[in-house]
Amino acid sequence: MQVVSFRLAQEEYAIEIIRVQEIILIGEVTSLPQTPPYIKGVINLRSTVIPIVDLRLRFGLPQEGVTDETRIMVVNVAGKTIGLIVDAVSEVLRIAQEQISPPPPTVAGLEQNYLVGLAKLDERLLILLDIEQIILDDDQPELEQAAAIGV
Amino acid sequence: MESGIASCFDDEFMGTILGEFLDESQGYLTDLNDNLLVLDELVSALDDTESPQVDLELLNTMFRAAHSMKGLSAMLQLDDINRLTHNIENVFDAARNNSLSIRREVVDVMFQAFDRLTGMVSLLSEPGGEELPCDEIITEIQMLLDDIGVADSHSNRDEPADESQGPAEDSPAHADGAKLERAPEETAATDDDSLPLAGETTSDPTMEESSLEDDPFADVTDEIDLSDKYLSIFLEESETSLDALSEVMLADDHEVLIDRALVLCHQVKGAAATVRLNRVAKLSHFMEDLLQQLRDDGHAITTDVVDAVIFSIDSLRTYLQMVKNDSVSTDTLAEAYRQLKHAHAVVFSTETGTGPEAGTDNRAAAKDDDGTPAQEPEPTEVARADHLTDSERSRAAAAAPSGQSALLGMVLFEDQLPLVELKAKLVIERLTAMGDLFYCDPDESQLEETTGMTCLVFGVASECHPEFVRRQIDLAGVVDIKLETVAPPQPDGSPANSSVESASPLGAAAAADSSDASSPNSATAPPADSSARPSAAPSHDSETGRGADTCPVTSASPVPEPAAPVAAPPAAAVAQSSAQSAAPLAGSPRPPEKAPATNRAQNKPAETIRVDIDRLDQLMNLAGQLVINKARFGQISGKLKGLSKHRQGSASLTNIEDSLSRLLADTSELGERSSGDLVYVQSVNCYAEQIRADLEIVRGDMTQLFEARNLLNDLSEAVHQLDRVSDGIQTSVMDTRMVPIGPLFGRFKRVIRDITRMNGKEIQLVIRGEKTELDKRMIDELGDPLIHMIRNSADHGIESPEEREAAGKPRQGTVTLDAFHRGNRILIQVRDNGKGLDSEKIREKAIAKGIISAADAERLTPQQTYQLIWEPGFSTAEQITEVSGRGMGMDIVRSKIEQISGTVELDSQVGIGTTITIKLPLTMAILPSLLTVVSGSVYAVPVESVVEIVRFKRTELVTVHGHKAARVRGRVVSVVELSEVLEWNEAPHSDEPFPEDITLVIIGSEESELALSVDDLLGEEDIVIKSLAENFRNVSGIAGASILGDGRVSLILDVSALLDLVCSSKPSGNAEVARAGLSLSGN
Repeated sequence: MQVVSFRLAQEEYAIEIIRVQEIILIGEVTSLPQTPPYIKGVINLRSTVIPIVDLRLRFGLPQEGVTDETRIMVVNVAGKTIGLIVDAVSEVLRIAQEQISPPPPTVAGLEQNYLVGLAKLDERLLILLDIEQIILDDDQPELEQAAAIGV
Repeated sequence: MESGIASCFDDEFMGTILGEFLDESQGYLTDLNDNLLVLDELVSALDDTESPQVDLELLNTMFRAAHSMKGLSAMLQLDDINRLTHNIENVFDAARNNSLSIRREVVDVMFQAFDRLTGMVSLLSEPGGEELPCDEIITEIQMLLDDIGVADSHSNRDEPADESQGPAEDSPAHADGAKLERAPEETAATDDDSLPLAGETTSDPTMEESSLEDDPFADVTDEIDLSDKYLSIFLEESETSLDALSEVMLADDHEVLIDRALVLCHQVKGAAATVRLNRVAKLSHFMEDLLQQLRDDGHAITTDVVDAVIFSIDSLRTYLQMVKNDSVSTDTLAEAYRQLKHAHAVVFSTETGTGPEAGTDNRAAAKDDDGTPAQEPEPTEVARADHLTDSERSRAAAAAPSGQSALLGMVLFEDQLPLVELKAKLVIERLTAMGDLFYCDPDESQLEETTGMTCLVFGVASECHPEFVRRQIDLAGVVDIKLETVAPPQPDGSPANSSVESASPLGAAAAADSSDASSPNSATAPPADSSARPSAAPSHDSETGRGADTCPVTSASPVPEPAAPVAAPPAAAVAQSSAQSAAPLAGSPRPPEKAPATNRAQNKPAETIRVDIDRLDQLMNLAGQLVINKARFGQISGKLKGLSKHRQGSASLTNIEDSLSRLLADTSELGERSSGDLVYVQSVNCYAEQIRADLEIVRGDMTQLFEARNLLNDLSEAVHQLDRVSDGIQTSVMDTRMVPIGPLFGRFKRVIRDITRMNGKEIQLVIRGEKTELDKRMIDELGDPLIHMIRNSADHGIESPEEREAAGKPRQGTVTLDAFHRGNRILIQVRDNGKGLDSEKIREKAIAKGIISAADAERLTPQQTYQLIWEPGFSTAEQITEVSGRGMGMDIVRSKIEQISGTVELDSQVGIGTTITIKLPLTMAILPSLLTVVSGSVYAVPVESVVEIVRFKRTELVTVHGHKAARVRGRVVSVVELSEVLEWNEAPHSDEPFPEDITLVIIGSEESELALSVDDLLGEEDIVIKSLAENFRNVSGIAGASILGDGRVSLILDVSALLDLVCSSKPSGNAEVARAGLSLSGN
């Protein structure tokens, strides 16, 4: 399968290319109240308003400032269009099925059900994400609680 | 033939008609449903032994709905639907003939049949479902009919005897041997047994006749009794078909296209039969037969055939045009028929060889049986020629100059008379010599084109004696002349309306009527025995005049059309009173042809066009973009204006030039005085000159700038114009999408009925605000959620009669459906006065289902507890009934409503009832808003929610219970910061934390108010709402987002949600509880 790999903190992740609609530069994000912290806000993508998820915050990583490499990956998940802020988008790769090994219980603080598997490419290790799971599962109780109490 | 046609339907074609069919049948189904419910009520009110007095009009309406659907389905060859509707139709027919009394079981069977029919129709729109068999239902219906012995007579009603007997029995006119104008055609169309579908379609009018035996107008009414709406659909459709047909016929390879032509003919025929333009139906039928025969026998299509068909198409087109304009005059349909006949004869007479010949003959023989025999046109003509028709009279009368007595007449020429046009011309000439020829049909100018004319209808205002006139125009070749005098429509009361042929006093009926037109009862008044002229008819009222003029004449005819004697008075009444008051009395016939015709004259059929809703969506979207762009233009032009205010520019330029000149003068003087520094002075001089030259250029630019400034004014004017246009587009687009909610509400009557029948409760459904208009999309989306809510209310909310009585309530529970505007929203409420929600039960259930922890549940107020029902997987019904409570519950309801940017609220009080309120945005797209700036971000506040805007000094704010508040004109309004009300991930911070002045936007809905403190106001703008739920989900306090002219996203504040948030957090010192509730309801 073909994947788009991207960097987040020190790890390299990848999601299926069919999920990715486009990759854009980060612009002005209008912040949105009453949402979990990882929702950075909304942007105007050619007359459509799409929410922006900071994947760092989503994965519980410390927040980083915007750099030259910071990008928004616009993905299509369950009929919705969502932007993901990532540290950098690396490349498009082709991965054979046999290169993928099942995910270990946790990787970089992520739970197993968010992962498709690990792909070993020479020296690199790609973490394949189940982006659908990550986006749709954003109503986690603890996050909701946090949002509700205003943390 | 049936299969032949079916195979010709290509998908696209099929899709189009199918769409029409679905559209139309929705209307019919709604009618049927509504009327069935009325019947149901009637029946329920009585005990089983009694048979209710059912309004005949009601039955007629239902009959017509079933009948129309039958016609349509026949056209589409939807056999099952056709059979079912046919049977339904029979039941109502029997009912209105009083041969079947409407009892409970009849209504029940009808409901079943209706359900099946609805199912079958919806299956068409969403294919892939299971086939629904209808035989069972049909058998049941048959049994009903068998009981009373109706079934047989009706299933065999296609026999020709039926129709010819029908009118004959009660119409003495038939005894005279006079023929109806259209009777032969009908008969022909009716006994068409070899073509089952066509037979079905076309036979109906006559069937109606026979069933309306006490109704002598049946023959007149059968032409057009459909509402303008359907008529216009028919006209549109037929025109398209005719266009296509002529295209096919003109194509070089029409042989290949013959199948297509057949389909088109068939289509026109079916459509015409549906709206009961039987003559059109017949002609197209014949056309179809001819083509069919040609195809089946492998004949080439000769030019004769093509010519004949083209001629027929033209005739039909002209005729339809006349119908459309309501100006039916002599048409060439008969001639077209003859041509077709001729072409037919030519083709099949040149045939050699016995095999095919015999086949053709047989078929031709069969056709004869079918009622399309060769002799057909002749009787038609003779019949036609016998009298002036009503419509002719009325048209002639309408054209008559007031104040003069006039003669209406008809000249009949010999059939196939050579040079008939010339004779006609001569007649016209002579008439013109005698007086003012105000009406002539066919027109003199048309004579050239008219071939095979057999009669000429004229109206002439002349003082000459009728006998004189008659002698003058009695030329060779003229078979008969009919003359009638028509009095000038003057209020002088002189007896003016007498027929030359047989002056009879029948005009009295109309006279009686027109003098008392306002009373619908007069329609049934027996003809008074007086020949008084309708004196009350004012001459300026052409309609009245027409009605009054024509009717007496009609009744006076010696061999009246069976409809005439009694038809005339109602016709007059109908024509005179307004369309609504013409509602026929029970037992009185449907308004005869006359009435719709005159009404249509005022009210031309509205032309409609079916549009794919996706296209409307697209249009809406574009209109939205236009609004954004318009705003951008406005901004730019505003900024430009601000920039070009420097009027001092040219003045200072002049100053500079002045100074420069002085400088130059000074330096030259200096140079003259001190000769030593000449070089220096000269160079200064040189620079000054240079500056002067540059200044000239600057001045030139300046001038251009001035021009640009003038253009700027033009620009702002143009922007202004754009503003108005885009507003117009916006509203029009919006309007096209708005439909009343009434029909949607109407559907629930049935739901309630079913529930009451099933669970034995007594429930009344009250519907209010059915005229409230909503976006079509919203209406479509609301159906499911509403049905769910209503079921819940009726099934769980309303108690059983016994329980209600025990609780001291009336036995009958009430479910109220209401729709109304509130501010910039549309509210839809489902209210019941049942037992209310049991918060304890909900709590237990929620804990049991793991929706909430026991500890959390304890802290919830009852109102917060109720909100738990919106959680997925929640259903409180202890007993899952058939109707509701499948556990798919309210969460789906809510998500459905959120999809259309709505919110839903629930309020319940134990013992009093439950109210569910759906709040919907007025439009799905555009919202006039006040743009405000808070902490650098732009927020839109819907203008409708803005009460006022006030400026305050920070020091003037007061503190009430630890909350900031402002005193605005004597009332205290609490002041909130957006950053406080809503939970932000990154608290928006203001650059200037405590400005001296603050701007308060006071927002409110219904009774509560709130002052929102903002940093700046940008002004009012129409913004396009973008749903957050589309790509994310709804966020409490935010109604949506919008894209500003500069491309930024601004959030639209949801004022009522903000109010709720503030109110809910304010009284409780325990903010956490409120927030817990908030998070539940918000997410």
